[in-house]
Amino acid sequence: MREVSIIGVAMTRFAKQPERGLIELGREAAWGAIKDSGVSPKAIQVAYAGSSRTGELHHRQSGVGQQILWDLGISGIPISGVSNFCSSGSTALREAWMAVSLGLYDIAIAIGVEQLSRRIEKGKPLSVDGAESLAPVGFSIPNFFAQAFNRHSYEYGTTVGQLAKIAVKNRKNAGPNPRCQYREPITVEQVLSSTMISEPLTLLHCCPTTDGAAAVVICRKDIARKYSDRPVDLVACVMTSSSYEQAKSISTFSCDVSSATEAYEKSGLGPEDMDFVECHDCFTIAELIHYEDLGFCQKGEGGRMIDEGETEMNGRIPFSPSGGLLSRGHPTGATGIAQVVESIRQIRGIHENQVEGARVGMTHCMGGFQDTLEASEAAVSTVTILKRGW
Amino acid sequence: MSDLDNKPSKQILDPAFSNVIKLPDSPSEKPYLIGKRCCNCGQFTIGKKIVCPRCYSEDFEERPLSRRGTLYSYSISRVTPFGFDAPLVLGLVDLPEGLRIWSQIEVGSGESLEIGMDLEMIVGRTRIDEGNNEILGFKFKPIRS
Repeated sequence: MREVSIIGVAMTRFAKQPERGLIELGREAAWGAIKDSGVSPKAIQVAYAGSSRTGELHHRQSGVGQQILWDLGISGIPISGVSNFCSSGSTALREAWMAVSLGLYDIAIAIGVEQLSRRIEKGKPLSVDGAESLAPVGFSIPNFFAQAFNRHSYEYGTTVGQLAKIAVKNRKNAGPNPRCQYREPITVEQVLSSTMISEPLTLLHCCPTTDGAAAVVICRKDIARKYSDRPVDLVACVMTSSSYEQAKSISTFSCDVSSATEAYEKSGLGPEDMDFVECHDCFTIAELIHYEDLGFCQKGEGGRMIDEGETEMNGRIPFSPSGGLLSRGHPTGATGIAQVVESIRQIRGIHENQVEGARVGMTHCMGGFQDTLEASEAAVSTVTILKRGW
Repeated sequence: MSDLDNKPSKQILDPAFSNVIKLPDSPSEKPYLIGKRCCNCGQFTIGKKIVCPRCYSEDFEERPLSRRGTLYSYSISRVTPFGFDAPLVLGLVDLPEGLRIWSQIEVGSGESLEIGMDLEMIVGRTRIDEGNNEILGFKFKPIRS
């Protein structure tokens, strides 16, 4: 297996932008990443495009990647669509990484895109996308995470106030970041008094629905310096699914524990080596649980970590320095790659909300549900570890 | 409002649950959920399965599941999907067969829920379909001691 570097990144602004179509958003990100990489469009050898709801919302299940790249004059190469719930983008990246690290191709592009603001169920939670067992019960994603909080609180005494601090922190981090949907600071009081969605999670505990796209160009590490003087090494690119045997607890997400563990093993690094983490803060309670599951504290200590400021910008391990899903928004297929784009900017030292001296970062993106009446946490978990390559 | 608006809607057992709910055959009986028990390793599952997820045996027998469970967690949805009235109480219910399952929870007025409390299974309205029919499904409700 060969080492892989990321040499070009780009993303669109993340916002509700119904006037911009799916393909238009994808084109902007893809072209931006190709220009940033210094690679000629003709040199891209394989492409993966992640999106999770385009069939349901835009009647375009197949061909998202094909259409994006055809319009940029890139054709003839293998191009496939990837869908894997909220980890569609990070799965597209993983497929690109596998293709290059296994020696099949030298240069690849991975794109993630989603257009959610045109959906017909505005104001309602995102539909459960054909889940035949769960839809008839009235399942919604906010309800699942609210139950996760209630259980976590029952087991460890976690409070809603601690969750609210996470929303405040991530909004503060978004202040300088022009790519975020929401950048105005908020207070704990505002979080607690926003519209109730599923008790006790209010609107500001939940990531917004958003439109956006992100893309990265990757290549064999040993040719990266030909294109970029600041390549970033993809030292781990892991994916797991929830395991039937272990998926029953909702105060921990075992698929995240296993993906993080494998990423540390593959990279030879540990939590103590990370300078920052971009995690899947789809809800405040999710970020709190990720502190534990990704190995940054003991089980049950997530509340203490936020109380003691350990995950603030000046804390031991900044989480969501970009603003996270909570502030940036969550165009589901794009998020996994957007997290990588934000992380590359950190490692290059050019992020608007810079973590001082950042050289190594982790991205974590989880998604989906198994369609079963049995408790089954999330379906997929992806983790990357990125390290300065110069 | 015309008379048509007052037409009583039909009650239909949710087709999604028709193979997991056993309705009582007589007034003295109670409904129960039907699970699948693996003939090889004894693991219980619920819903459409053709293979035991633990040992991969294809031999199952249908078994009534316990009508009683305990509340593992819950939350009250205030914003709900189409067809579901708010507030909607959803929970995860632990059954002694080793299953932890999603269910609507029926809470009486003045009642409060507590993780760990004992529940029993009932059949009741869970949602409305596009034809405005009442759809019946399974729920759990607190056992009043």
